[in-house]
Amino acid sequence: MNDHSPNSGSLLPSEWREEWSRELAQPLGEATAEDSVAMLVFRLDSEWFSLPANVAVEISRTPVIHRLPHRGKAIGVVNVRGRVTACIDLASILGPLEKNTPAGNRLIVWKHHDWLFASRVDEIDGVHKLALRAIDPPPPPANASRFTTGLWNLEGRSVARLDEQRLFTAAREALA
Amino acid sequence: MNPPDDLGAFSMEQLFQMEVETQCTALSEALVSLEAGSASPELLTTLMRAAHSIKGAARIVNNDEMVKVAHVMEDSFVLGQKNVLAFNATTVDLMLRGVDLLKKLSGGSADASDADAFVRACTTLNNNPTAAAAAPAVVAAEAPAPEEPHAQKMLRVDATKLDRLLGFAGEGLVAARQLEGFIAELQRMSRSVQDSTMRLQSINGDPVAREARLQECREGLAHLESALRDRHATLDAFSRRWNLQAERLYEEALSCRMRPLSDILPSLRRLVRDLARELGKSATLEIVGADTPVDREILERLEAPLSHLLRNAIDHGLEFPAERAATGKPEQGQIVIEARHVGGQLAITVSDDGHGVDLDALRDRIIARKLAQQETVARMNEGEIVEFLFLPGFSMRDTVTEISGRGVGLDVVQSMARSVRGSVRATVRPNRGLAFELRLPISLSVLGSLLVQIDGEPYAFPLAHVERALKVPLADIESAESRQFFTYEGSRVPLAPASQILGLDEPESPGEALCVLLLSHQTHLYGVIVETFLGEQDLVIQPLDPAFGKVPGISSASLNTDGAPLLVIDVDDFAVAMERLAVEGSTRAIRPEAKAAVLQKRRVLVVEDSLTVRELERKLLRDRGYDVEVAVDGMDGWTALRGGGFDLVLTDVDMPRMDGIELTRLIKSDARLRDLPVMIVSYKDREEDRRRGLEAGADYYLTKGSFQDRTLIDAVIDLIGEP
Repeated sequence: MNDHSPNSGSLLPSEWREEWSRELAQPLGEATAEDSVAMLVFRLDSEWFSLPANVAVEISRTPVIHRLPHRGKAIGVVNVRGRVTACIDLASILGPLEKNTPAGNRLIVWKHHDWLFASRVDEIDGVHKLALRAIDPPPPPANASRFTTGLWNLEGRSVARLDEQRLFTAAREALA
Repeated sequence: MNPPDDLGAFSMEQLFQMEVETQCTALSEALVSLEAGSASPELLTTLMRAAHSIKGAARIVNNDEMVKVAHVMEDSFVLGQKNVLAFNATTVDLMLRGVDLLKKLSGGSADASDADAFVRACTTLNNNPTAAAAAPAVVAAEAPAPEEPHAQKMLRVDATKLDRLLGFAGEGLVAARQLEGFIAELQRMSRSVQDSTMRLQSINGDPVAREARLQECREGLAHLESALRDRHATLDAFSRRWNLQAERLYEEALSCRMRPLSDILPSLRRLVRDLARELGKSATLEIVGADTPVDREILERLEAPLSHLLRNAIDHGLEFPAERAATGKPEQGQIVIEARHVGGQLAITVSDDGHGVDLDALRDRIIARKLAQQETVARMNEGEIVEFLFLPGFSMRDTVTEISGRGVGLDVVQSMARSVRGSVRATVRPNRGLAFELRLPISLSVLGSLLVQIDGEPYAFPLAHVERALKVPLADIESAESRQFFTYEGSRVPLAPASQILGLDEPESPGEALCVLLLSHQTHLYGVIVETFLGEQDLVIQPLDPAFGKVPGISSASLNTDGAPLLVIDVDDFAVAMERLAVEGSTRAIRPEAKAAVLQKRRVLVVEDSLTVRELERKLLRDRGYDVEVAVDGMDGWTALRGGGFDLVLTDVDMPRMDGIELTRLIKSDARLRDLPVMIVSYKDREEDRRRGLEAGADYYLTKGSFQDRTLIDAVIDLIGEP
């Protein structure tokens, strides 16, 4: 329907349009599709984590989060484009981080199947291409990491590759 | 992606269902009017067309049974048009069964044999129309088939409404672009202010140059001032226009949710007719305000309680024709449904001209059921007495009939009303029968609410349940047995902090007065202490993410004017929590020092909805030295358990909201609570009840008869040891 609306295109800044046009005009490279995956890299407390970029639908400044009674400090609701959306502190699921203070000033909205939820992070280091063969196994013992499937190196730091399936399932269960 | 007004979004099967529904409604309505003696030629044409439409539609989806059924019905209507077949009560009965059969066939809950039986009966009638009066009932009445839950709810909306909505959306796009230009202008002005500032800073000692610079600045400022005034006027007009526009958009969107009350009337007329006939009574249903708009969701849920009120009126209210004649009333009883909008609410009154309710008999019944003491009952006024009719399981009948008297009726009406934040009241009208008035919100999506702050965050209380908002001086707050209360209009009202009910932190020092919301629950008043009042506001309600499950004390969510989220209070949960606090005493507010000593003892949670049994169990355990907490039903118990720190759970089986079996299952499937022993205490002493409890994971099953001896205490010691 939007395609027929005469001016809808001008709502996008023109540089975005050009950038995306170039992007979309690229032939699909075999190497990018097969051997690497775009990862969103973020920091919670002092640890760096990454999840596939396509499970994040939106990043914004952290708006007001309203706690949910009887659900502990890690759970609340937040306004995401007019919908009251669940907000979970991922640090509470990933286990005790050093400080365990959810003081993050960035909000990431995740999409898991059809379920949207948000979480606060301390810092976002953007999207990076991760070559699949560059992933090391998680630190031993192997069964100690519930959500980390591997570690990779980004500019000298170790970044944990999280399993979105397991993490988001745990997040959803943490709500009830 | 299909736009919502495109019927292509529906499958052929869905379209067929819609069509059948529409046509069956038309058939029912016309049949009932026909029998009531309305002009028949037009009605018969309507009937014939409806049957014909169903036949055609059924053919498209290859439903041969429906084609056959609709076909014979059409034949009957044609014979009716020719005045060969008379449409009396028997014929109408048969045709109404046909309508039911069509609905069942379309939903797959009837098969070819049902269809054949009906077709045979109808064919017999059509071939021998003069024997109509003697035609036997062929298709037996069946229990209504359970409705198939649809994965996604489909709504039919008037296309012109969608067009208007689209128009508003288009204007929104234009306006957004207008603002873009506006922002650019503001940026230019901001630059020009910067220029002037720079000029002022670069002013040096030379008086001529200084004067020239100052002049430039003056001119620049004058120009800016007029530009600003201009922008201000533009923004003002824009804001006014958009407020209006947003309001219209909102009303339009809301009206898409509204349907006239008349949508559910055909089935109600049908009900009155069928029931009166079955009971050998005679009744007409009069409807005032049939075109009153009602929220679709409320309308859907209105049918059951209205049916119940009608059933009640016919079975209990209306007398038999002979009785009526003897008392000088017209033989035909009259039931009136009156709908109107009153003060932002939908009011629906159901009244009859029967004999009403015998208040003395009702008083006796209340005493006989041990619901209140004789002297208390004697003091109660009419209104208070009538309230008892709404208690679960309360019935004026000794015998259960097919129609009513099971005692599961009026409480259903009340719980429906409450579930949509409304109320129901009964009024006794001497010699004129009983009248029930339902008060419901006009729309479920907007909630008039009072915003308050609790533990630093905004919450909304539904206005319909807020009696008053008061500031109560600390000096006026008293306590008895560690229960806080204050006196309001001569009666003592129990008080509790909202933060305690919600499990949040207690506010620091309250100052000299407390902000108290007086909430009404059934006939009781209770007070909830909040941090501050933030004011009244209409909120657009959003459901909470279902992944949250039921959050105790919270019903839904909304957005504040500044876009921040807020939570809407579940007033029913609050009432339950107040009931529990009234028994336990207000633990947190008043006895902080008692806590430490108490924690050492073994703690037992008693989950029981009967106050008597609950108190008995509590007393037994406490006297033995255990620390006891109570919960009034499974849901409440589950909330208490999440707080942790219990050594044993004692639970009843039959309870509202969540029963004991469900609670046991929850406990036993929770990683943290799995090892907590659960003892079921129930009146049910059959082996299968016991097995059901143990299968759910209970560690012990005890029958309530065992209170008298030491069995209960012994079992507790067995499970968790001495206190």
